[in-house]
Amino acid sequence: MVGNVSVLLVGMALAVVARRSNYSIPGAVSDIFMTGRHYQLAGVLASICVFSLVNIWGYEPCPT
Amino acid sequence: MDDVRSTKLLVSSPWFKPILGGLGVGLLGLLFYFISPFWSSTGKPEVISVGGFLANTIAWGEKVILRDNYLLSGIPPILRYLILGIVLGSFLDSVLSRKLTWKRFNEQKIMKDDLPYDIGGGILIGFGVLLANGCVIKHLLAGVPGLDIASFVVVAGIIIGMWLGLKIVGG
Repeated sequence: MVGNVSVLLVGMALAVVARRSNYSIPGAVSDIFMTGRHYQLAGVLASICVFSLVNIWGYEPCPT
Repeated sequence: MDDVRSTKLLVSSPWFKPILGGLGVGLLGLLFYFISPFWSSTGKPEVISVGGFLANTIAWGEKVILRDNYLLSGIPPILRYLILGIVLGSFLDSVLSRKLTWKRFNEQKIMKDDLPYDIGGGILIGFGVLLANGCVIKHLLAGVPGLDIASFVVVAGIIIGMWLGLKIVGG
């Protein structure tokens, strides 16, 4: 129960952050091709940089 | 006084919102990674993924109809709550920011112009998620930062696909 609620809250926070900042991965890429703007891509790169900290604790990529 | 002006300039910059949002998404991705082992059925860390939930639903349908999982298995059920949270969070945020409105579809436009593209695009996304073992969120937000070579290949494919799509169907 606690786990499901905490995951639910993470999902809700993600939605709020993405809505407020217009965060979109496909939108960031298509923005480059369509309008030449790269602000959204900078946001995506920022999230990639932050998540890359996970390598400090030894991230195992999902099996593909 | 100068501090206030420079803060205003920073906030009004077109870079501010996307980068702040990107940092927030990255931090939430990390948070999810660290809390997921406590409640994940596998006991291993999970990464944010949306396509996984859809694949999970298909896997359930497969088991009901075919009585076994031939194509899909092992999709973590913890992602159901993440997706539910995303939908709920969007709804609450739109209510709180007073932006929740009913929008009427332009039926003629949807049926005549958009429908073939919607169906075609949806099929291609579904096929791509299964073929690449994950959606764009999983590969770009977890695979690339985790230095997963497969994710780099997938992202290169997405960029090429998007460029080709824009060339074929236009912007």
